[in-house]
Order: sequence, then structure tokens, then C-alpha cells
Amino acid sequence: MRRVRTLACAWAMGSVVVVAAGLPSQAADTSPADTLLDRARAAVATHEFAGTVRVGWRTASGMEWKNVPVRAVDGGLRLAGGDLVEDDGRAWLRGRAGWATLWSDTRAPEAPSVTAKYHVRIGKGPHVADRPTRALTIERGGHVVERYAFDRAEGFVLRRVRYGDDGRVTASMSFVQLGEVLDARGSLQTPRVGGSAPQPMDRPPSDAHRRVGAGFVLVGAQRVGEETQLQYSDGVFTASVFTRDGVIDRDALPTGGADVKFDGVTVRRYRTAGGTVLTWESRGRTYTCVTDASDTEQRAILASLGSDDDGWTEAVRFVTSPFSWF
Amino acid sequence: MSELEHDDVVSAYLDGELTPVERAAFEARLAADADARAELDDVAEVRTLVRGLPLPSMPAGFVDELLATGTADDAAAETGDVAPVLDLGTAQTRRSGRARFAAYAGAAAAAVALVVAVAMPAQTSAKPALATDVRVHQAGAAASGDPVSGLAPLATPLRFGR
Repeated sequence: MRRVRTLACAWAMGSVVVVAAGLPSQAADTSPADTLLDRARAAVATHEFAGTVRVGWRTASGMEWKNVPVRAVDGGLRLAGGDLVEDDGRAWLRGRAGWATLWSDTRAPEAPSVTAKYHVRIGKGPHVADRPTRALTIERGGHVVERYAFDRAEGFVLRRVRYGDDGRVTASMSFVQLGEVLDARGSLQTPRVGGSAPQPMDRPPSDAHRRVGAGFVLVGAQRVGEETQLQYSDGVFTASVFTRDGVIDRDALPTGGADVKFDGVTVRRYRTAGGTVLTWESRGRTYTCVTDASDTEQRAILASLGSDDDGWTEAVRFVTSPFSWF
Repeated sequence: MSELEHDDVVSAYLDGELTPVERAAFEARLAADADARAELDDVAEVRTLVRGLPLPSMPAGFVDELLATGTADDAAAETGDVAPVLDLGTAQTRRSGRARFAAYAGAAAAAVALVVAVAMPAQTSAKPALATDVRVHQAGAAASGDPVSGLAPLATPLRFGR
């Protein structure tokens, strides 16, 4: 009898092991690099500190720089003297007309693993704001695309530098001063979410491309005023594609951009501190892509957005798997 | 019964132009043939649509052109270059059926074009909200990544450069 019970027990345990092995494992998709990035995000919400970050971004005339005061308090962030507030993924910006909600969804998009597309190296990093760091170098094709420096003790990001196709720095953020780091207490008082806040969509539009460019997958969709925003990620860079009905009113575009040709389509391109902005029209609709990805990646993204075949294929895939984002 | 003849009968039936015998035969066919009933319904629906359309006005000079055509036909008759003589009753029935069919088909096409023209929205111009797009994108990137490096650029004046 004992033998039978032992065999039954072994069979049951074996079954659990076999079933578990067949299920997708979150841990299997989480590389050490992903863990560093996840820890950095959590560290901001669980610590309190005040400091200054130096932000840089490249324009046609060279790099532009700006110092921004940052304060992590009560589990959230206050930047620029409190004009920009973040809490649990949500973000608000104070303007002349009052607070505007930039992001209202507390569900962090499930981006692909960094290692899905990139090669990563982890090692000892430089001292940043007098604190020792751990470095994460992200490469593709032997070309460095981004470098992080994580606080060795607490894990948050102290420096982040992004590189373009030519190897030059395209964007940079680095703490130049950081005070004492404490554990977070209390909860942040946040502005109220107004009716004009972006509204997350439970399901993406049926004609939305599930994949664009080289390895960018659709991770979110929401309504922003009259526009639909599709959010893509390749694990390192993000791209948002905003669409609205109507042909582009070029007179209404800001000055300062440059017209460039992408596969025969004229695209107005701007460089901003928040990323490269590309806007164009196709088949009676106006598209705007905002991304921190390189120019090569941008071309690939736009090429796939202009592909009808892909759109139809993806639309069919959507119909046949309506509950899947991928 | 050929396709055209069948169309003639359907139209004549709806117009009440069939003889009692022809009408009885056609109704017997309707009773036995679902396709025929469906076709009858379709034709009746098109006729209803067509009758709802405004009457077209004659273009300027149309009557003069028509009279000139008649004069040319008369001249052709004088030279002997004319069509063979048909039985008047048969020709009249067939011509009226064909003409009616062509009229319905043309009117149906016009109705479809009208519906498409009304349903198609006029092309509007769009003013992309680039500043909002940049801010929303960056906030979304910060939500899925590092919030400090994601949001800090938004604390700078948003300038659109080349």
C-alpha cells in the first residue's frame, strides 16, 4: 500500500513538473539586464531623494543641455519644481491652463525582453554623482545603442546615454548632484485625472500593425483626444504612432522641421528633447510617429507602416485571435 | 427561357403587362423557385429606389439633337440601308423589356453612386498635435521604463528643431 501511495505521489509530482515545463515562464523571458531595468523602476517608487539631472539631446546644430531638478518623494516623482508629477506610471504636466494628464494607465506595458533583439553586457560602471554604479551596455551588430549606469546600492538609474547610427550621442540623462537616499514614506498627492486624459483601449484597432520595423511589437493602444496612439517597443526603444482622420495641414505644423523622403513619401521630421517626431499623410489619414529609436529604425518602422500586405495579414491575425495583443 | 426574356417577364409582371395565362405561369414558377422570388424582390426594390430619385432635366439642345437623329434615320430608310422588318408586337415587347432593363440598371448604378457620394466623408484637413504627441509618448515610455530618464526631457522647453 505504501508503494502504491509513493508511486501515486511521484506520478503527481512528475505531472506538475511536466505541466510547468510546458507553460511559458516569465522567469525564462527575464534576463539579468531585464532584472536591472525592472529593479531601477521599482527603486524610484521605494526611495526618496532629491537631486539634479542634466538632460541632453541632439539637434541639427549640436547637443542641447538643460539641468532639471528631480525629487522622489512619497512613492512618486516631482520634476522641475513640481510641474511634472509621476506616480505609479501615471504622469501629469502643469501648464498655463492647469494640469494635463499625460498618462493615466497604471498597467505597465509588457515590453519584449532586452535580449530579444540586442546583445547586452553588464559590468562595473563609472562613479556618477559620487556613487558607484553597475553598467549595462546594449549593442546590436557590434554597435552600442545605449548605456545605463545603475546605482550599485539602490538600483535606480543614475545615467543613461543613447547613441545614433553614427555612434554619436543622441540623448543623455545623468545625475550631476544627488542628496541622501532614504526609504519612501507616505503616499503622493496627485492631480485629479480629468475627462480629457488619454483613454487606454482594451483592444487595439483591427487595422493596427502588431509588429513594425525590426522587432517592434505593439504593447498598448489608447485614445488621445482625436487621435489613436499605438505604442510599440523592441525592449530598448519605444515608438508611438498617432493617427487621425484627414490630410495633413502643413501650415499648422511648427516651424523648425525638415522634409525628408522615406520610400517616396514626404515626411516632416523634427528633433526634440522627447525624441524624433515624424509626421506625414497617407490615404486621407495623418500619421505622427514619435520615437527615441535611430534613423535606421525609423525608416524600417515607416516602411512597415506603409505596407498594405502586412496590414491585411495582421488584421486577419487579429480577427482570428481577438484576445491576443501579439 | 433566356436570361433576357426572363427579365422581360419579371418587369412585365411588376408592370401588370402579362396576360392572365402568362401571369399564372409566372406565379406558378415563383411558387416553385426561390431564386425567382428573390430576383423578383430585387427588381422590385430597385424600382422603388429608382422611383425615389428626382426626375432628371433634359440638357440644353437635347430635343434638337433627337430631331436631327430622326432625320438621319429617315435618310437611311430612303437609301435602303435599314434594318429588316420584324413583327411589331414581338419587337415592341422585347424592346420595351430591354429598354426597361437598361433603364433600371443605369438608375441602380446612379443610385449606388449617389449613396457612395453621400456616404463618403469630405476630405478634411488635420492638424497633428505634435507637442501633445511628444509628451504623451514620453510619458508612456517612462511608464514602461525608467521614470526619471523618461520624464526629465519633458521638464525642458519643448522646441521643434531640425
